Amino acid sequence: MKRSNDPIMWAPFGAGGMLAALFGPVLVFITGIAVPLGLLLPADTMSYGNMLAFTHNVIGKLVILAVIALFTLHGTLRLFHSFHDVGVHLGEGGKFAFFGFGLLVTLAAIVLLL
Amino acid sequence: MPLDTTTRTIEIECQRYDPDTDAAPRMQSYKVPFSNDMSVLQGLRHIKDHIDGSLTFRWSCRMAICGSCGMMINGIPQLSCHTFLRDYYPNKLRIAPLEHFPIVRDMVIDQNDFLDKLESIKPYIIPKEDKPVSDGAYRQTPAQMEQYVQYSECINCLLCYAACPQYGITPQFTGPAALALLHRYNADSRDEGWAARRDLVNSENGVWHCTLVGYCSEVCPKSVDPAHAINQNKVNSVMDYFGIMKLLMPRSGAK
Amino acid sequence: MSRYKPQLKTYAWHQPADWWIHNPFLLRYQIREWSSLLIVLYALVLLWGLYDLNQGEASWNGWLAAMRSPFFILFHVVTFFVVAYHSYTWFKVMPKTMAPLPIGPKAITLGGWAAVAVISVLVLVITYGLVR
Repeated sequence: MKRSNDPIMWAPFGAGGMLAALFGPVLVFITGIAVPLGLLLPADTMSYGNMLAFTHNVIGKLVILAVIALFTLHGTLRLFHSFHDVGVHLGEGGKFAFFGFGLLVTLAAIVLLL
Repeated sequence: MPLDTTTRTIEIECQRYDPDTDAAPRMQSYKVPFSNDMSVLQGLRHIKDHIDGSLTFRWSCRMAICGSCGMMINGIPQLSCHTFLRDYYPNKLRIAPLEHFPIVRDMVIDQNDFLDKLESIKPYIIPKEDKPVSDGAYRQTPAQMEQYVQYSECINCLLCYAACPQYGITPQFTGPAALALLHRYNADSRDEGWAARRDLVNSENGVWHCTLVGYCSEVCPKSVDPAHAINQNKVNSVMDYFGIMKLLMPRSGAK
Repeated sequence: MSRYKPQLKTYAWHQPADWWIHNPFLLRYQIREWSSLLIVLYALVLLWGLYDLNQGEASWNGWLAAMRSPFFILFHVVTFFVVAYHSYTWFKVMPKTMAPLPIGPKAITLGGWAAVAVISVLVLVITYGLVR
C-alpha cells in the first residue's frame, strides 16, 4: 500500500482554511468592498503611507504573509481535489504542481516583504 | 386511530438489467396498488408476486436491520423497507440499484469489492497479548464503550458507498463503512491494533482519499457517522507521519 | 488477496461528470470546495497589491484604482459571499474532523460561527482605530 504524502500538505491546508474561515469575510469586505467604495472606514484607510507603515511593522508583515501564503496553500490542495472530483485526474505530478504553486506564492510574498 | 386500508395506485419505475439479454440497463414501469402502511420493498414484492416475477432484488428482514434491501429511490440511497410509498404518492417512484457498484441483475449489485475491503481492515479485536480465559473478561467502562459503540451499529448495507462520490470516481478507495469499522476497532479500549491497521489508514486509498463530502453520514440508516470516523483519523495519520503517534501510543507498539 | 473473485457478468459503473448536479447536498459540497478557487484568486490579488506597493506610490494608487473598477468590485462582492459560505461550512463540518469533545458537536459549530462574528467586528474596529 502506497503511503499518502497528503499529511505534509494537510497542515497548511487546515491552517489556511481556518484563517480564511475566521478572517476571510472581513478581509475581503475591507480590501475589496469597503475601501474601494468608501464605506464605513475612513477614505485613507489603505493609503500609501498607511500601507507602507503596516508592511514595515513586524506584525503587519506576518499578517500579510500568513494571509497570502496560507489562503493559497489552503486553496491549492482543495482545487487539486476539486479537479479530481469533476474528472480531471492530474495525478501525483499535478498534486506537486499545485502545492509548488502555493510555495512559490509564499516565497514571492516573503521576498516582497523583506 | 383506525387502520387506513384505502388502496391507491402508484407508478413504480424500475431499472432493469438482464446480463443475458441487455447491453445496458433499461427502465420498466409498473402500476402498483398500495395501502398507507406499505414500504417501497412491499411495493416491489407486489410486483414480483403479482405482475412480473422476473424483477430481481435482495431483501430479508423487512425491519432495517439486515441491510440487504438498499437501493436508489428517486436518486437517494435508502433501505427500501425503511421508505414508504405514501411519501411519494401521487408522484411516481424511480428505483435503481445502489450506484457505484457493478450491477449483477436489476437491483442486485456485486458486493465483493466491499467484502474484500471489510476483510482488509481486520474487523476483529487485536489485543496486545492474548490472555487465557481463566483471567476473566476484558473490562470496559461505559465511557470507553461510548468511544466506539455507534460505529459498531453498521449493518453493511452499503448506502454510504452509494452516497460517496469519491468511491464512485475511485473504486480503490477503502470507503466509508470499512473505514468506520476500522475506527470502531481502533477506538475500542480492548484493541491494540493501530500498528496492524495504520498502513491502510495512511495509504492513498485510506483516509486520505476522503474529501469530507459528508453524505455517507447523512444517508446511514443506523446513524453511524463514517465521515467523523475517517476525518478524525486524518489527524492520527498526520501525527503518525511525523512520528508523534509513537509518543502518544507507546503501548500499541507502533512499529 | 481476493477470495471473492466474481465470475459474474456485470454491468460496470462509470461516474458521470455531472454527479453533483442532481443532489442538493452534493451541489452544496461542490460550492464549498470551489470556494477555494476564489480564496486563491483573492490571495493573488493581495500579492499583486503587495508588489505594486513595493513599486512606489504611483503604482500603489494604480492598484487602488483597479480595485475601484466594476470588475473588481463585482469580483470582491462574489468572493465575499463565497468566503462567508466557506466560513459557514468550515465550522459546520469541524466536529467531524476532531475527536469527540465533551461540549458536543453543536457547541463547536456555534462557537466557530460566533468567533467569526466577533473577529469580523474586532478587525473592523481595530482597522478604524489604527487609521484615524
